[in-house]
Parts: sequence; C-alpha cells; structure tokens
Amino acid sequence: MHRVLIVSDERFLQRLVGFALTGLDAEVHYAEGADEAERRCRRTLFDLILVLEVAPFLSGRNLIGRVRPAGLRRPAVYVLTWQQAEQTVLSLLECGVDQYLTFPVSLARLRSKVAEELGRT
Amino acid sequence: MERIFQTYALCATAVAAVLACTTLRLRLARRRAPWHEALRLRYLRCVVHALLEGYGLPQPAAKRTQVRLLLAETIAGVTAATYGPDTGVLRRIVAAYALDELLLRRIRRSRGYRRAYYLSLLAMLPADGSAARRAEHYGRGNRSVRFYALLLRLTNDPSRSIRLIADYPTPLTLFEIGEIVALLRRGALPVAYGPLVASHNRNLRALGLAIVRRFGIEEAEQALLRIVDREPADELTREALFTLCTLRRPLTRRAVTRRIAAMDRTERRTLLRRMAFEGYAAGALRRVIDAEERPYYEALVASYKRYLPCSVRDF
Amino acid sequence: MLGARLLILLGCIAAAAHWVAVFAHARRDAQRRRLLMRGCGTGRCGTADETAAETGISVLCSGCDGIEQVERLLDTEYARYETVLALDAAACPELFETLVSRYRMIRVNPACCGTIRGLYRSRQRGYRRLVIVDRTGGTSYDDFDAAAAVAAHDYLLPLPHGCRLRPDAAERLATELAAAPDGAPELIVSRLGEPIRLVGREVAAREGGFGPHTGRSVRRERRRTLYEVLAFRPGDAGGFRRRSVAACAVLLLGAAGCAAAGDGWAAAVPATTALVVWAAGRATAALASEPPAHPGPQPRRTGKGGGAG
Repeated sequence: MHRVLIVSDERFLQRLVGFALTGLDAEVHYAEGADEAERRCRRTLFDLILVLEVAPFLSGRNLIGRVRPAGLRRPAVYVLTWQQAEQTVLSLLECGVDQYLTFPVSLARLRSKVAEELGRT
Repeated sequence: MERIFQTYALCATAVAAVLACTTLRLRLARRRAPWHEALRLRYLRCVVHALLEGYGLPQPAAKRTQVRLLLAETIAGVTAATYGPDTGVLRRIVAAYALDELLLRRIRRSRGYRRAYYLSLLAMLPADGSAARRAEHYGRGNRSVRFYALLLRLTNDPSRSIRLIADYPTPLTLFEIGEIVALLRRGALPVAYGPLVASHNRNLRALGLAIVRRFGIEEAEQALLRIVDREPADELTREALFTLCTLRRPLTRRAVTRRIAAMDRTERRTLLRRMAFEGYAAGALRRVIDAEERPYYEALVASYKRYLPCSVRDF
Repeated sequence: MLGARLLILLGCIAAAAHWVAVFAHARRDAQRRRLLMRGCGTGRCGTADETAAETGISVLCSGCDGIEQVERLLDTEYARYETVLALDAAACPELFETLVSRYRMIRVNPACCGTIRGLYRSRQRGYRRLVIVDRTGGTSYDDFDAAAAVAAHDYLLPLPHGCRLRPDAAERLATELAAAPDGAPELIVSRLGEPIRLVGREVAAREGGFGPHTGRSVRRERRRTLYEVLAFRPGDAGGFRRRSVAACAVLLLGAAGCAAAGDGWAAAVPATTALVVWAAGRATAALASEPPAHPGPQPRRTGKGGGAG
C-alpha cells in the first residue's frame, strides 16, 4: 500500500483532496503544516507529499530538504495552490517540487495524476 | 433632570444587556465550532464520494437550518475549488435538502453583507434557473448585493453573460472582476476575451483586460495597442498599458511612448517600477523618459533594488 | 450643579455611543470579511489571488528578533508581497550571518550613502520576497524610510517592532484595496489589535517619510478603517482592550464620586455607561476572535492568530 501525505493548514481543502483520493491503493495521512509534515516524514517514508500552500517553500523553512532524505528522489512533492504567478511556479520548481497544480482542480484529473505518480514507485 | 438620568440609565442597561447576549451567542457559537467542523468534514466526504461515484446523498440527513446551511457552504466550497464536477449530482443534493429555498429565505430576511454572502453561496450552488429569477430584484440593492445578484444570474444563464455585464450599471471593481475571472477559471462562464477588449462598454473592457492579464494572452497585443493609441486617456487606457507591461511586450511603439510621456509623474513612476519588476531592460524607455527620471529608472532596472535613493522624496 | 450634571450626562452618552459604534463597525467588518475572504471554513476561494496581479504590498520592518520572525513574515500565500527588513548588522552579527546564509543573501549595492551600509537580496528566486537593509542609527521611522526607498510595491505597511501580522493580513488588505469602489484608498488603518497603517507609496513621499502620524494628509474619502485584528503583540492585550478597561475605570470612578456626593441617579449614569463600555468591549473582542463558521477569519493552528485587541 502506498502512502500519501497531504499538508495544509486549511482543513477543508486538505480533506477535499484527501477524500478525492479514496479508492486509490494509498493510505492518506494529513499534516497541518511544515513542522508536522517533517515530524511525520521522520517516522514514515511517504511515496507522495501533496502540499496545498506555497509559504513553506518561500519562508525559509526548506520543506523539501526536511521531508526528503538526502540523495533520494522520494517522496515526490506536488504543490496544489491558488497561486498562478509565474515567478512562484519557477521558484517552487527550483526548490525541487515535482509538479505544480492550481486550484480550481478537476478531482478526476488529480486522482489520475496521483495514481500515475504512485504507479511509478 | 432626574427623569432624563433615569431614562438614560435604563436605556444603557438595556443596551448593555443586548451586547452581553450577543457576546454570549458568539461564545456559544465558538464552543459549537468543533462540532460544526466535524459535521462539515463529514458532509464533505459524502459530497466528494457522490461526485466520484455519481450518486448518493449526504448523511446524516440535514434537517435543521444551521446544518443545511453548513451543507450549502460545503457544496459552495467544493464548487469553488474544483472544475468540471458532475453538476447533476450536486443539483440532486441541493434539491433533496431544498438548499436553494433555504438560501432564498435567508436572502429575503437579511440585509447588507449578510444578504450578499447568501447570494454568493447561492451563486456557487448548481441550482435551477428559478432561484436566479427569484433573486433578480436584488439587482437594485446595495453594491455588494447588486454584484452577487449579477453573479448569480451569470452562473445560471452563462449564455447571456456579456449582455448582463454590459447592462450592469455600476463600474466593476478589481475585486468584482476577480470574482468573475474565478468563474471563468472554473469553466462556469464561456466568454472569449476578443469581443470584451474590443467593446466600448467599460465593464466588458475591464473584464477583457483582466482575462488577458490573468491568462497571459499575448495575441491580444494589437487590441491593447489600439486602445492605448485611439482611446482618450482614462483609467482603462492606463490599464491597457499596464497589461502590455504585464505581458512583457515591447513598449517602444509610438502610441505607447506618446501615452507614457503624457502620464503624470506619479503614474509614470508606478509604471517604471512595474516594468523593473517585470524585468524590462534599462534601455526600454530611454527615448521617452526625460533626463530627470532616467537615473531613477535605469538604476531600478540595472540593479533590481541595488539603487538606494538617499532621500525619501525619491520613493 | 446643573452644569456639572449635564456635562456628566453628555460625556457618558458620548462614551457609550463611541463603544457601541466600535462594536457596530466590527460587526459590519466581520460580515464584509466573511463575504470577501469566504472565511466560512471552506478555505480560500482564490479571488485574492485573482486580484494579486494588481496590488503589491511591501511590509517594512524595523529590527529583527530572530529567524522565526522572518519566517513568520514570509509565511503568507499572497503572491505580490515582500518583506523589507531594516536592521543594524553590527548590533546582531550572529543573527545577520544566519539570515545571510539561510536565505542565501548577497550584497547588491557596493556604493552606499548616509547611514545605510548595505543592501542584501537573495540569490535564490524563492527568497526574493526578502530584502535586508543594513543600516545604523536613527529611529524606527528612519528604518521605515530606508526600507521604503528599496521596496518594490506600491503599498507600504510599516510594522512596529515586536508586532506580528496575522498570516492572512496581506491578502485581507489587498482584497480591501481591490474592493474599493472609487479607486484604491491611499490609507487603510486597522483599529483592533495592534493598530497598523497600510499607506500608498505616494502618501509617504508626500509627507516626507514615515512618522507617528503617517497618513494625516490623506483625505477622509481616500481612507478606510478596518475594525479587525490584522496585527497583534504576543502576550499583550492590545490597545483596544486597554482603552476599554481604562474607560470603564474612569466611569466607575466618576460614579463613585457622584455617589459620594449623595447624587444617586447621577452616579447611575456613569455606572451604567461603564456597563455598556464593558459589554461592547467584550462583544467586539468575541466578534474579532470568533470561529470561521460565523463572520470572522479562520486562525491558523500554529498559535500565530491574535486575539481581539
């Protein structure tokens, strides 16, 4: 069984995305912010981390470095936010984010993206 | 005098009692918040499940007004954050719990921002056209109510959207245009930017420019240049100029340089800062800017914040 | 005697009317906030992001308490945003070094003038929202002036030392600017919590820089007052609550004075007014910190949200 972690302090969006992944061969975990995500990643190796905000990458917390063991490409990190600004997208891709998606999102498309990512592992 | 003092003391006590009751009500609502949150997430699970499976109604059955309102907010939240959901499923949920009726009743009984809020919720629900028809007369309410009544009509009758926006009597604010663009991003409003930008109606053109900016439509350059060149200097011409800048198009055309030269100092400096932010080269406007302003712009662009004016007058 | 009693009555009416008006404004602003920000527990609706292309906000800070403060300042989802930090690197060399290495800052102005020793920005695109101005001497207003001179955006928000912004403050202010019907206001003042002022760049330039009364030249129709908590000081009850307690104390003292003079009904007037002030203060505080299912913001669950004033 795969493991997916959804990071957001907005519980509604967090659960919306989490419920949309129901039925995939994945165990969905939730974290309220970067610190909790890091704590969870120390205990569990996730296949995919879905972050629903950009601030943890731009505030100096270095989320990627904290959740991804050095030298590994796993877990894959997807960002799904409302922001469309080109500079933000480039910044996040430079940080090591694997995919950048924006709200409003198609639940079916999100499921297929996640399934595809999990299928690679 | 005694009588006045007595009356005042009684009135003040009554006001204090009303305020204390309000505090109590707010605190009770705060205490109930975790329960509401849990219920909201439960409904969210049901709604998402119904959307994925194509059938199903949220359980437990929403009977109380507060709970139905919670369900309406949940569906509105799902609609706002997703595109292409199965509206048939959502419509069945709305009809089963008569959420549109509930919101219409709330709209009727409330005023001001509360009424506008319920209208905005109703606009997010995939209700049938009757709700929009019944809310039509709110188009004569205060500004927020009027706008969300328009939004409701737009979502219920997208084919008439251009006519509805053109007939809207008040100039749309940036925020209101943002709300309409958000509809567009959800795929709920099929309009093309071309006729909007070409239109002489202020609201349509403002919306067209916002769409061009938001989606980075470089093909709109010629239309923007036409506005900058031919239209009288007004807020929309300025907006067209800023849109060209956001698209990072060359600003050395004669029409553009003439318009920039005619700007006042404050406006020009705003444009120069925007240009530096967007990454224009230092020589981009050398011909247009006078000797006084050239060092400001060149220093801004050349160093991207390396320049430190010593005086606050150089802001 | 009659004159004194009349004065007491008029003073009490004014005090009661003021505090009830504050509550009414706070109530209206909470409803407006719910409408504009969709703070109904269903997350952000994204309209703030739709308008983000238009309105940029630069937060100006005087001094720095630690790396956490910088992280908090950068912890916002609003796109067109930057933090300009004015500090004296010589006074806190360790912190400065930590900032420079954490955010990969480089010095970008070899030639400086006045009290400004250096300007630093990040080599990494993701941290370009942070700019550090190394300067020495002067007051916090001089720091704000120096920070404003290098700020990129059209609206400036000077943040007093030790004051924290709510995580959604920038979005809220940008939404308010975008929602103004007659052009964007030049000044937005937040009355509850720690009072802050968002000013148009041109206002600061017109007034010759920042000072204790920044924005005094802005006409009434170009101002907007928000009765919401946008900034706060941790562990501090805030000016709003202090003022309401002080007003209650003064009124109760007045009531005691009247009672001592043997004037029973004259004593009742300030006493009941104190009751109104107290109740209005509590109601406003409850409104400003109420949960998202009702008018009001959804505080982040990281202990950063401030209480009412």
